Amino acid sequence: MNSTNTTFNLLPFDKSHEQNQSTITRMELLEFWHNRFGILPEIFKEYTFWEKGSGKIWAFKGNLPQKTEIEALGIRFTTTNQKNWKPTTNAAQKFGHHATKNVLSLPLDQILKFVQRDSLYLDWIGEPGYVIVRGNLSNHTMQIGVGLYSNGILHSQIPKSRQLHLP
Amino acid sequence: MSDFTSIFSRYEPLLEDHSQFLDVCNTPLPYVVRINTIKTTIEKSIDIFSDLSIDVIPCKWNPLLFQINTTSPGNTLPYLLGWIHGQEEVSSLPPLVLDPSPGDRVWDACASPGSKTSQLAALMNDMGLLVANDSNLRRMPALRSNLERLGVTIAAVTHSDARHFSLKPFDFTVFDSALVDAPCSGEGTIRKNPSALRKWSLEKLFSLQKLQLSILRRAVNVVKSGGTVVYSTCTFSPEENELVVDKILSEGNCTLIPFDLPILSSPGVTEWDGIQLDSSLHLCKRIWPNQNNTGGFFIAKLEVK
Ligand SMILES: C[S@@+](CC[C@H](N)C(=O)[O-])C[C@H]1O[C@@H](n2cnc3c(N)ncnc32)[C@H](O)[C@@H]1O
Repeated sequence: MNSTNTTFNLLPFDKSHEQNQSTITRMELLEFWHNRFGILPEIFKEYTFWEKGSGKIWAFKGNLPQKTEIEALGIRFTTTNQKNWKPTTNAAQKFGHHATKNVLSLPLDQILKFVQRDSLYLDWIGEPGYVIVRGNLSNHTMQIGVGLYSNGILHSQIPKSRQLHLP
Repeated sequence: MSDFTSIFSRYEPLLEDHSQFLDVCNTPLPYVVRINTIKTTIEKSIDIFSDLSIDVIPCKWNPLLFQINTTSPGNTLPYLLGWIHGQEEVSSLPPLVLDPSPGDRVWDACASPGSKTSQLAALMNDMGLLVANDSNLRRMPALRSNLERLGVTIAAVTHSDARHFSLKPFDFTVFDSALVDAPCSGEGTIRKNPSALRKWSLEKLFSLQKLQLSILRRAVNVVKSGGTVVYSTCTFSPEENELVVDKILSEGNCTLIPFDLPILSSPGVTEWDGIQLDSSLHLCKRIWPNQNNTGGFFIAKLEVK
């Protein structure tokens, strides 16, 4: 087994922890979720965040030694190796109900397109970038995933491996 | 009747109605899903099934299980949302028998594809630590993606041979409990997979027995004194069930403890092939397919000394 493939590094709290090999800090990560989606850092107080490979951040509810050789730790949470940081579908499903901005709620017919990775043309005006997509059904709200919004178009970010093929 | 009839004739002495058993083995099993309480509730799930016109029938003994009238539960919205997971009725029993508490440290020795791991996480309210291990690299992706889809954030996934499992990545030395859902000959899955017994042989049962015993021994070693180890298989052969438990008992580090099941079952056998086994083995439970119209299963609950 290639050990660098399985090394999880704990994100340091802030920049003062210089010996750490991570590309970002816990504070920067939680600031992103707060600024972009209005989710308070409080929400994540039980979680530790880990980097495996550059810019792939995982969320794990618990503590382990700072450098851990393992296959997986909790859920993939955010991708930070690109200009616009991107929440994963699983993170949006798990934490999306706390979001207060850059959230889009869709009716059933549009959800069924979104989960088949179709792009949607919307009469919604929002900030361009990643949004959390919700659905409304029978008085219940559900957290569906992440979309990339720009100029009236919502591009579904449902991973190919999760895409539904509906009749 | 298909070719399993001759193999299963060896179980005639263990069954009250052997021909009914064979008949049931010849009928397919319905698809069953478990509601994932980490991400949703029973009420929400029932509403979404109805919104999407998915027909479901609740399971009589477990409010979280539903028979689902589709051949591909994986291609539905509730699945994508991580609200449901395809899992047979009998497969949901071992985690209920292990009965972990939120905050526990639990080892799942043979975890892929994670049906029982994710159920354990739900029983723990996604609080504590769940170490999900499997030795088969090809089965890792399914384990990882199921745990992520189901919103399990307390799992650490390891890839290792459970017989030599190392606690090195962790900062503790014992688990509170462990589940050994062992690799087995799979006789009890015949209804789901009619070709399950194509490679059946007596030699194979004995080589599996060796593997099962070594994994179970490691589990007993890494669980604290007074902690629980549940051993389960989806097979009927006493070679892979009571005989494995008999051997671990004889090593003196654990004892069998009684438990109840919400469905019909038979006690473990205390004699097989002319060999007398430990008398406490009646505390194990066998679930025959004709008892509750399910797949077949074996469960033993052990307490570490
Ligand atoms: C019955 S299946 C487990 C099913 C799983 N518990 C679930 O509920 O989804 C048995 C598993 O044991 C794994 N296995 C086989 N030999 C092993 C070993 N020596 N160490 C760890 N896992 C092993 C197999 O790869 C297989 O995934």
